[in-house]
Amino acid sequence: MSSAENGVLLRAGGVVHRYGDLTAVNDVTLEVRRGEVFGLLGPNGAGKSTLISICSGMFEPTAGQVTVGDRQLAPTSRAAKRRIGVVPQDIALYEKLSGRQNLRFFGRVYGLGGRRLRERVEAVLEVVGLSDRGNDQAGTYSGGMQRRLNLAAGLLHEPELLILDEPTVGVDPQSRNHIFDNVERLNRDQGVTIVYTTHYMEEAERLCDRVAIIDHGKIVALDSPRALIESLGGGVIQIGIDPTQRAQVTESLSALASVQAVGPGPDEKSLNIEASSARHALVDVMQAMNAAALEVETVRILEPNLESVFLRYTGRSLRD
Amino acid sequence: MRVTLAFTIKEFLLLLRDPGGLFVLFMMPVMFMVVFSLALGGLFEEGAARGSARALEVPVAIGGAGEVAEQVVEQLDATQGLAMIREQDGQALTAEAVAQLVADGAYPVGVVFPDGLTALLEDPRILRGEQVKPLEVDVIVDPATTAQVTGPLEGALSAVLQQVVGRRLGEAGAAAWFEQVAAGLPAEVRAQLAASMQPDGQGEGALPVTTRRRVPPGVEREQFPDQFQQNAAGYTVMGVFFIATVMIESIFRERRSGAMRRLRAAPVGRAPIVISKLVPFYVVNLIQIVIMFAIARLAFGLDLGFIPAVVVVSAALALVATGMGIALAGVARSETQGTGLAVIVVLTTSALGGVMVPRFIMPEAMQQIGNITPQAWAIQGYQDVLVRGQGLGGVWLEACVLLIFAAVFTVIGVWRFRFD
Ligand SMILES: Nc1ncnc2c1ncn2[C@@H]1O[C@H](COP(=O)(O)OP(=O)(O)OP(=O)(O)O)[C@@H](O)[C@H]1O
Ligand SMILES: [Mg+2]
Repeated sequence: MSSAENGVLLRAGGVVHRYGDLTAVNDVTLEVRRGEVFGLLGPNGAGKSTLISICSGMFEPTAGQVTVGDRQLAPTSRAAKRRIGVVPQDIALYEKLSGRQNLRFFGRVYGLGGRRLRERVEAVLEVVGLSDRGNDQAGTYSGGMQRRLNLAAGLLHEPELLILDEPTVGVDPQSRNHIFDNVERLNRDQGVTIVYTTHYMEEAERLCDRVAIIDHGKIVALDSPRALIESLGGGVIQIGIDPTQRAQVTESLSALASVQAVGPGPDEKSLNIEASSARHALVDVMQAMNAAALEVETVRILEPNLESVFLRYTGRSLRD
Repeated sequence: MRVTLAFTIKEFLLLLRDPGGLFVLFMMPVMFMVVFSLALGGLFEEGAARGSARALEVPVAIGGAGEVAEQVVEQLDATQGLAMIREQDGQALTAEAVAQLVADGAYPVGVVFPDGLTALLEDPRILRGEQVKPLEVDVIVDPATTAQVTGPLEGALSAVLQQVVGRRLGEAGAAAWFEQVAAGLPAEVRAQLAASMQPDGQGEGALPVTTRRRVPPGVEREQFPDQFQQNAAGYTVMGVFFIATVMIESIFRERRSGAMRRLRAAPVGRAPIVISKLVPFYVVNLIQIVIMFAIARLAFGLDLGFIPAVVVVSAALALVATGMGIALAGVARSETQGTGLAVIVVLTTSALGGVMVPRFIMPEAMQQIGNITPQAWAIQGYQDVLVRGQGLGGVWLEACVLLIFAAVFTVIGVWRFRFD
């Protein structure tokens, strides 16, 4: 059965990318299904943009391959590229040209022309709410407006697959909601498949059907947000300890029946304790610590969300 | 095709958004041309005449002109700044050989003495003060040579001729007159008279020898270049090469804008992107050339000669200039480095190519180096038309050489072209 038939639109297989000695993407394999919003969640430098650039055919990976539908994607494969719309993380516009001139240019580059080009330009300006500013130079736009124009340029040719790289960075809450609405509408009403990169877990939780958590170039977890959160069970207790007692604490807490796993916290002085029920486990934990005369400096209960999923898989907070 | 057009339109729009940059590009060569032709004209000539370190080498044909010519040449040779070349490969130069050497551009100027010069001065009619048809010493001049180069030779030649011929006539004339009038005088009186006579023929009126400027045979129009023909061609050529700085700026700005990254994801190859970086600037170059020659024509009366030939040279020249721009952009690591490099390269190659100072007053080695600059070929092409009055046949070689330069530069530029 071909990948197109079983509903996979984009497939990355064993993708590796190195910049000199630095491995930015380390053996990533993933499939994006037709019609879904696929989230790529990871901290700064995780390799999201690199992976996404490869998935949009900007450059070839050091190893591995990407296919769109049945076709292998390469910088020279125009047919495959035409199915993809890309919104780069950095504003990719000509500041000296007006919004409309920018859109006309990118539209032509994607093969549009004549009336259809004019219609599409007006349509996407409408979508991102910039119709009345379309004749002003892009350089005079506010940061949020530039982001919206940046998004509009990726929508012109009505791609099947829209790849968005952190489209909401540096955007005020209003523009941000506007972008969310656009993404949701494109997906729901027009069936556009979306790959959405972010390091805001609320965005991933709200928008995405499935989320891949990426850290140090590796996918460390991939599932629907709900499944990822449920897989954590009850939640995470983060305790602050005396670093010299670390081994001892880990050993005695791991023995508890209500504790599922004990792992490193965000720093030397903390541990993450996963439990099916954080509240119940907390009592056991405190008792065990007391009994062993171990010090507890701080206690935090993390409600299960993608943040705690991230913590669970990387030992770090997303915002680190 | 549509994509290439899209890129080209975009590039034009961007260019028009920054008219200041273009204004500088257009004004700079115009300013150079006007300033160097008018304000500094005299200074320039004097300086060039006095300051050229190397003696001006002048091939000379003596032929049957005899002893008088030998004497003149000897004196010219002794003149500072002049070196007379009498033979080549051990053979005395003939009039044809001298003309050929100048026609080939090996020397800017040559001298051919008329046969029978010495004999004429001994002609009894002259000694009797009768009018004879004067002989002409030909000064064979490459029309592309400016007066600042030939001036010293022509001045020296007239002076030396005056002196040598005048003295000889004075001596011979006086002797003949003396023989006539003093025939019957007593010996002491004759001796006295002879002593009182100064053998001084200078300032005695018209000599039976004149000099005449000629262009070498086969070179059609008898017109000599002025400061404007040199400068219009020179600074037009230099000006178009400064397009490199504008191109580098445009390419780096586009990279910086991040738009290049988006373009990498777009279904376009390198070709439209690179072509779009060439076409608009090519057009700008052509406009620049039109402006330069229009100013030279309207304000200073420059005769453009056979226009299609000027167009051919211009078309090839603009290709080289845009090619050099894209090559320099490919080599440069940063915009600042690129524009700096462009200014250095353009100024150096322009100087070597004979933009500021005509090449033939440069030392031989420099002239050889100059041949590897496109500017030298472009200037030569223009001067073939503007000054030597040649047509398409006269510029095809230069145009071909320019096209080769353009091809090499463009290949380097496309090969080194980076998106980010
Ligand atoms: N052009 C490059 N040359 C060298 N190293 C690079 C280059 N681009 C990215 N990197 C490195 O690769 C790693 C991954 O970078 P990437 O931009 O893919 O991360 P990211 O997840 O998108 O981060 P962010 O959230 O900050 O956008 C980083 O360590 C980065 O420094
Ligand atoms: Mg990124």
